[in-house]
Amino acid sequence: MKMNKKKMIFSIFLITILIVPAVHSAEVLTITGSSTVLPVAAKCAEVFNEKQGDITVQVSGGGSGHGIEAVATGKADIGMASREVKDSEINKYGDKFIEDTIARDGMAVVVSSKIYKKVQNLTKEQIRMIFDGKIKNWKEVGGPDKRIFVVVRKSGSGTRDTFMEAIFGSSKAEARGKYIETSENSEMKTAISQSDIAIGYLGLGYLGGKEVKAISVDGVSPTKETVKDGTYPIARSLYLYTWEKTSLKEGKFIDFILSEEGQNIVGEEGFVPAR
Amino acid sequence: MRAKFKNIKEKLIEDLLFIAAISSIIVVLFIFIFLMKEGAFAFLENGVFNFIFGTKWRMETGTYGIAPLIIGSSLVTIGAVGFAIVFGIPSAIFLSELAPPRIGNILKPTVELLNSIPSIVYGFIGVVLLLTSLRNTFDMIDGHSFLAGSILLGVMALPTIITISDDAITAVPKDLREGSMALGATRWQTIRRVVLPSAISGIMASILLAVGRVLGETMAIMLIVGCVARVPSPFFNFFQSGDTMTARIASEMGEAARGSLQYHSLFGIGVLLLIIVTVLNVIADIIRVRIQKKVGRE
Repeated sequence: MKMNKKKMIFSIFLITILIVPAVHSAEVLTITGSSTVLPVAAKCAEVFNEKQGDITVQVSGGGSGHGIEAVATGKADIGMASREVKDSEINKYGDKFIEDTIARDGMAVVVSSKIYKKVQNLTKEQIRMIFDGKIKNWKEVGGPDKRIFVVVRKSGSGTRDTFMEAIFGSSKAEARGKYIETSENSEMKTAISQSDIAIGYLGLGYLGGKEVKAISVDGVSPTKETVKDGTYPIARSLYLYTWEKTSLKEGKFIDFILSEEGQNIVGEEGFVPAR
Repeated sequence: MRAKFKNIKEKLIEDLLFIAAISSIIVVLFIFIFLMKEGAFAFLENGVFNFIFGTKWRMETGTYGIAPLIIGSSLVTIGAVGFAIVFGIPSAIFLSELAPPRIGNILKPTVELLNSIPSIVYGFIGVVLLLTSLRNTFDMIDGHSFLAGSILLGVMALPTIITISDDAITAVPKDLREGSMALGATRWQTIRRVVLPSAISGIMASILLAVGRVLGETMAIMLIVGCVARVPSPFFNFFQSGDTMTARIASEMGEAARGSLQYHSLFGIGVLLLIIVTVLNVIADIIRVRIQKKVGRE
């Protein structure tokens, strides 16, 4: 028993001295920022780390603002963002951001399947009126004589920001018609699928299923093609930012995400590839 | 020498026990100080009046008024505790006075089991079953509402009321009952006029504990109340969606930047919750003492 313990300690010691240098010999590339981009970057980092041994990519979240600040102040090599860098941030840190668009993301306006039978298209103005509480009954937009159950996301959600920006013109606007707030895409989907009078919005990757249907906005239906070419109005791009000059290790990883393999991962994670 | 050593040892043990005894007081004190320190800023920056009576809570514009949350918490608490009293106290009476031992032996552990179900599980059940049936039964936009919260939290508060009331009723001395029966009172008269008045302090304690439990509940209520910080119209409308103090803290704490007004405002809610719970506890103690004097026990 005593012997075993000694052996164990010795082997742990051996493993430690063998592994630690192996980790440290690789260059570390740190990436931080938007939680929307996080799953894509994390998956890409996983594949990238396995493929080569020179660079170890470490990914963490914290929000777009955090990513931009971190890359500008040198706390991280690459910043992830689900929006473009703001003027206020350029004023604060300087204009040395280098931007790479790695994916496009669309928000589909979704309704309960019973509503979809009659309402398959809404204009941006109609959607704004519904979410603002000005239109309260489906019959005002050609649907059945039923009240409208408006589902939104909680503040802090990037999906909510993009939707409000596109429909209300500002991510700070208030959707006064909201009836409940949900924390996640999946919670939103559950709420809409359980009701037959609901409207809400979902990331493109969360569409599918019989109970929740995506409607067209201004006559354009949300598909990968319309989101990619920008004709669908409620969409955004996902960015990676580097600071001043893109270094060799940064360039290698960005090239990987933009390669066919990386863009396949983008697609698998529910976004529209940028290339 | 040995006696002296023994003395020191005695003293040491005494001191250790004393420290253990006051540690909980110290912890409570630190919680109070910490909450006050972090929350005071919310009252200063928003203004006490605007913070407590403001009807808008919006992170986007930096306005933090918690009136909708206070109303929401009150509605859910009143509804849930009412529900738990209506179903809980009769079942406590049945368990302690009327149930044959065989049924009691099954019922009591079942009620206690109800207490050990995690609140998130209640939340799931609420989302899947309760919301659907409410939507189909009433003319509501959706099932998410104070009513749903009241029913679900009422079920969660049931075991608290049943077990404590049951204990209180069982503890009523047997001779009181027998005396009453000997005077010719029926079983129901005995329960209503003799047993319940003697057990009232325990029953009140169970109700106040249930209030505490409902007020502090977070996960389950977050899933079914709707999380919209808005004063219902009229303000006692149980059929509308809303938000409670605890649910708001839970849904925004993760996003709030440390040191921001939002962060301090969330702590401000915490301060208010703590004050409410403390006041409730003090009232509970006063009621208990008064009733015990009146009934003449202990």
